[in-house]
Amino acid sequence: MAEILHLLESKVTELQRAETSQELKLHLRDFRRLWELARVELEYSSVSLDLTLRYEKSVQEYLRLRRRFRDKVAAGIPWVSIVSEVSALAEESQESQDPPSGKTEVIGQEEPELATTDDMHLTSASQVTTAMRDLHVQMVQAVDVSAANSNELASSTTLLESLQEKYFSVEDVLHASKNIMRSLKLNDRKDYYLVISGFGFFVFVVFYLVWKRIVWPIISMFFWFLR
Amino acid sequence: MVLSLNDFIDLRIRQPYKRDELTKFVQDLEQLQLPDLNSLPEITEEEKQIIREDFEYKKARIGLDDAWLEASEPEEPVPILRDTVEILLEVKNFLKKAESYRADDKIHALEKDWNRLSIKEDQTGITPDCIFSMTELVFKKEKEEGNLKLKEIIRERLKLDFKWPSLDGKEYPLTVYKRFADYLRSINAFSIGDFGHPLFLEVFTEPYANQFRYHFMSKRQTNLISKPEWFYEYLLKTFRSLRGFFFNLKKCEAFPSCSLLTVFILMLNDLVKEKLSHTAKFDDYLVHLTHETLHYTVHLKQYFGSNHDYLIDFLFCQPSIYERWLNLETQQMNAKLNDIKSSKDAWDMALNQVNDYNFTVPTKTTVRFRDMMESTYATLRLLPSFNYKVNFFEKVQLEPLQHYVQWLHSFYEAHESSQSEALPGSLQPTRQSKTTDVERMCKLYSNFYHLKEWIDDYEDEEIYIEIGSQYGYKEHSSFFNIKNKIDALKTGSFRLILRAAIQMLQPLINDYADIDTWRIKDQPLNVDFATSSVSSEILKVQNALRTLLKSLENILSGASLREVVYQLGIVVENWFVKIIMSHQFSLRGGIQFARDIMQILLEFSYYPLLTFKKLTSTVELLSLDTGKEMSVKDFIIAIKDEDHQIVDQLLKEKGIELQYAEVLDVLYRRVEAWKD
Repeated sequence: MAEILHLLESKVTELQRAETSQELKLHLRDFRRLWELARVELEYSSVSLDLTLRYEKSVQEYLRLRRRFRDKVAAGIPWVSIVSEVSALAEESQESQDPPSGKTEVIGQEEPELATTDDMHLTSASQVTTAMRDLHVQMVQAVDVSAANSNELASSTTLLESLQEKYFSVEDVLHASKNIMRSLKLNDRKDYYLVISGFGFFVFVVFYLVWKRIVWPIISMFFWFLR
Repeated sequence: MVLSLNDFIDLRIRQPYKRDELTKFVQDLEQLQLPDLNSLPEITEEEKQIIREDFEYKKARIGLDDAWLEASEPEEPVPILRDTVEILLEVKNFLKKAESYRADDKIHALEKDWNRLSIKEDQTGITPDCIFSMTELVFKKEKEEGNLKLKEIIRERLKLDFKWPSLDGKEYPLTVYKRFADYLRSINAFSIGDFGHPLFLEVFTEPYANQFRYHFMSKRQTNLISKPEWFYEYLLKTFRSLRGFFFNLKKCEAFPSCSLLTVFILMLNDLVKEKLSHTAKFDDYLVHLTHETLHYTVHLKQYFGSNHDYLIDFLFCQPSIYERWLNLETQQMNAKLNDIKSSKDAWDMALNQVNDYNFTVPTKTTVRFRDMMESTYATLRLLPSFNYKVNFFEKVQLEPLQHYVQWLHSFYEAHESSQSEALPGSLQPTRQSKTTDVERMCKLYSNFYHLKEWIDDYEDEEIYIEIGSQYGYKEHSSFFNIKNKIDALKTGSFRLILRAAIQMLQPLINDYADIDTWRIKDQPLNVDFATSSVSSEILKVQNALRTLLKSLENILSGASLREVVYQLGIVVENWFVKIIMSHQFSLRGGIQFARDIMQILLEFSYYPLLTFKKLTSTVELLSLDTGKEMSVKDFIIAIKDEDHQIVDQLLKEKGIELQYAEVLDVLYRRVEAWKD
């Protein structure tokens, strides 16, 4: 992750120093590839706050430079590199200052570049602050979520503990229930066979009576007529 | 016969001069006796108006027969007024001057005099109209004759100094050019000729124009309507060969007011207009003609500093040419798109197009579509005006892109809603490997990925930013609407890859999850301990995972591959954690399970970000052998009693990174936790 971040930051520097629009476009394209790699690495690895801030800063700077380029093209203004723009600003600020005499030095006249660099630092710092604020909000949300998860875990642990106690008592009950079930099953089987055998005996007796009293006399009478 | 002024005016009102009576006109004017101006009275404006109206009435009556009048009114003579005599005097002087200037070849010097004379007006309306028209004709004729003479002189000088028109291929010293330029200035050779260009250039262009007409406008084999690039190449070659000549002339400040080379180019371009008008009637050649004309215009701008979009503007301004061309381009694009869609190898991978920039291997469809769009981008850049560019972008680029995305979207929807559907021209249906579905989804994802990349790169181009700015979209994005759709499809197709991978592995994981021998203390039967100490089911999972990863690595790379593998790793981890949480494990079972998991984690060893911390910690707990000093139950009690010192020491020793609650969850999976 550190390596990719370093590449990202180098690319941002190259973007800032691009002299021509062709060069800028090439660097923009390269940055997008690196950005994708960095995003994936950032999402799936645990990184420190410092790395996250550096990533965020690089991305914001890329977006700013891209917006600057597109705004200039859309407005029909010829694109100039940042270095040229800074130099032009420095020259303008130098021209606008009129020294009262040749000997007196004008305050800040020797440091127009520094002032402009301070502006750039200020811009970068404000961007970092914004990114940090966003990160802080996200971290607060993450903390809330993890606190809720922790509470849930604690309640599930309590539940499992009570379950364990109940299990020990339930085990005996289960054993006794098992015995009862076994005996019940046996009795059920016995009853079943008893009922079946009783029914069978009943059917036999009915059949015997019908044969003896009805069927056999009819058959013997029939044989007597045949004789 | 010498006429009086009255008779002359009267005659020429009734019988104006004809165009072929120039000589007679000059003679009559020469012989015309004009009165002295001072003898003529000055008249007021009102009187002039009255005389004008009377004379108009009189002119209108000319030729009418007054049949019902018994006697015609006697005609009054034409009044001789000062204004009329002044004008006639000026005309006479002008003609005299013209005669003398012609002899000295200075006829062009009379241009100002003529301009002054031509705006004069006889307010009385008496001077015949034909006087001015005949004077103009005389002047023009004199000028033409003068020009012809001058042209001949220029021709001779060119031949003498530069061996023109061959120009001998030689480099002449600057003194020759200077002398030549001075001579031309002295004979006024840079005055505007009959065709509106400097005379010198009218002479200079003649042989090149004749050659052009010979080769490209007559019945020759070089005059092919389908080959506009031939005559454009001829012109460019001519300009290149003469650039040095004109550059040297420019150094001598021969004609400071404009670039001679630019005018020369314009003059030859005028010849091309006729060819353009003729060729543009044929639809079969219009597109090619337009492309060649655009390239020619760009060449002129790049190499000769010509700022004119001369020919292309002329071509597009012809009636309905621009609309027809645009429609033809659109039809061609749609035809190409249909070819791309229906080609047999559309979904084959274009392995020769892989580079470090892309994180997927493109399909042949993608490559062809991209090439198609790039060819239209070249044309878009060359178009002269912004309105042309916007129309071209909408019809020839945006519409086919929308159709293409819609086509891909239909595949996405088919895959999203159903298990699988064969892409046309895809893998052979007979050879279906286990990873077929995953590969299909990777190809679909690759298409969306490359489209998004292409749009992101092109949106940085100036022309698309200008178009986007006109639409007013965010960040001047010209592909704003379609970009969001492609982004969503890219994300969706990424999920489809994961879904296909999960579908491929799920049955094998389920088979593994069905193993219920973890709680047994003895060795179960399904362990292939003859060859290894791992379950046979896990070997199947491992092989499938290996094939899957290899298949993904063949099609994806970089960030795309890593993201898929990381997501897959998380899914696999969750699966195994779920298996753990739905079974009970003895120590033997835990150790067995740990060995099985190691096989899986080996496959992910090339992706160091996948630490599988939760799984490895869980598995560590499952196979934890605390020894005789502390049983699993004791450990559980220690956690519940918050004896963190012992617990932390043990967890740190074993490299377990779980919360206490999670540790308890896992330990309850151990059978030792429930029995003494």
